[in-house]
Amino acid sequence: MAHDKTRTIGGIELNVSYMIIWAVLLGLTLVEVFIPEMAHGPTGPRENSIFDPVFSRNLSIVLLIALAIAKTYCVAWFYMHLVDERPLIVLIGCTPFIFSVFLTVGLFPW
Amino acid sequence: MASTALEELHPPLGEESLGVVHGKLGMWTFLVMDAMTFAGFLAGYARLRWGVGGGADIPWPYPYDTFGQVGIQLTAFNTFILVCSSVSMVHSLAAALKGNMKTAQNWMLATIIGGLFFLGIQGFEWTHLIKDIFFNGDIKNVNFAATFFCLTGFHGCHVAVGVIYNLIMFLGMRSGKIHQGNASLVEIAGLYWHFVDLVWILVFTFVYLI
Repeated sequence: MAHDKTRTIGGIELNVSYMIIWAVLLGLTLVEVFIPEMAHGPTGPRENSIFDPVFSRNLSIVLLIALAIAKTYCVAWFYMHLVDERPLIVLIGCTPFIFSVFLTVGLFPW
Repeated sequence: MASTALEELHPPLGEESLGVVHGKLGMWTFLVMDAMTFAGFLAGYARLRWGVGGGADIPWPYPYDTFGQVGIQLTAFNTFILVCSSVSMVHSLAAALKGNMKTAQNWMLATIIGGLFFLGIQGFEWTHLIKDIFFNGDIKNVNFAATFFCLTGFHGCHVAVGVIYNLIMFLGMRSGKIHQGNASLVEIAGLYWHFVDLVWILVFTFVYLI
């Protein structure tokens, strides 16, 4: 039974969990593509949009960044097997993300 | 120390430091360095973009209008290709761990094809942008072109290297040098490939969508 246990992530069989994450990534990518279409452009509603703008550009930026973080989390946690790694590796993997936040905040033209 | 599920299925090769096999620790250390390089690119992009006048006293072009609806959708399809190649890579690893080397080989081939497809679409996009948009004078802000080509070009180099890396893995599997006993080599190659996918998710969002 130990053999079966090693082939699961979160209690789900390895190959199945990979496909679930793939479907999630595909769904989030589709949502991402439609968000700019449904948002106002920087100078107001865009003429070439096939949708009526329903929310502001600032909200679309927040949503897009949130979706990108969710997707990177899925890839790192499940495909790079951080879910199953030692804390040391998780810590190493998180380092550049912490660094990039400080770098971006430090460089931002406040 | 408790070992990971993948290592329980098959113990990794090589010596260990802090309970982690050297090859994996080395790849993670490299990825941290590489991620910081990309972080520098992205932070620089953010600084230029949100600076006064886009950093060049000329308004920063709205990506949706620059690339067009078709361009964005083509790149989204490219993102989908890269995500699919990530899936095929994890399936290759799972098959290698089970000892199904023929299946692992096929999944690795699919990963290579996905990477080549991605590079082909990016090459097509670059050609179109250079010939029809950037050199045509449609884009006045040079910082936009500079950051776009630096970010996507640097990432494209990573994909190209990843394809070669995966090809070496594929040939190793075919010749029998890579087998169930040293499947951790596939896992280490997979780490690099997933990292390339992960970075593209961020580049796609920041450069093409925001």
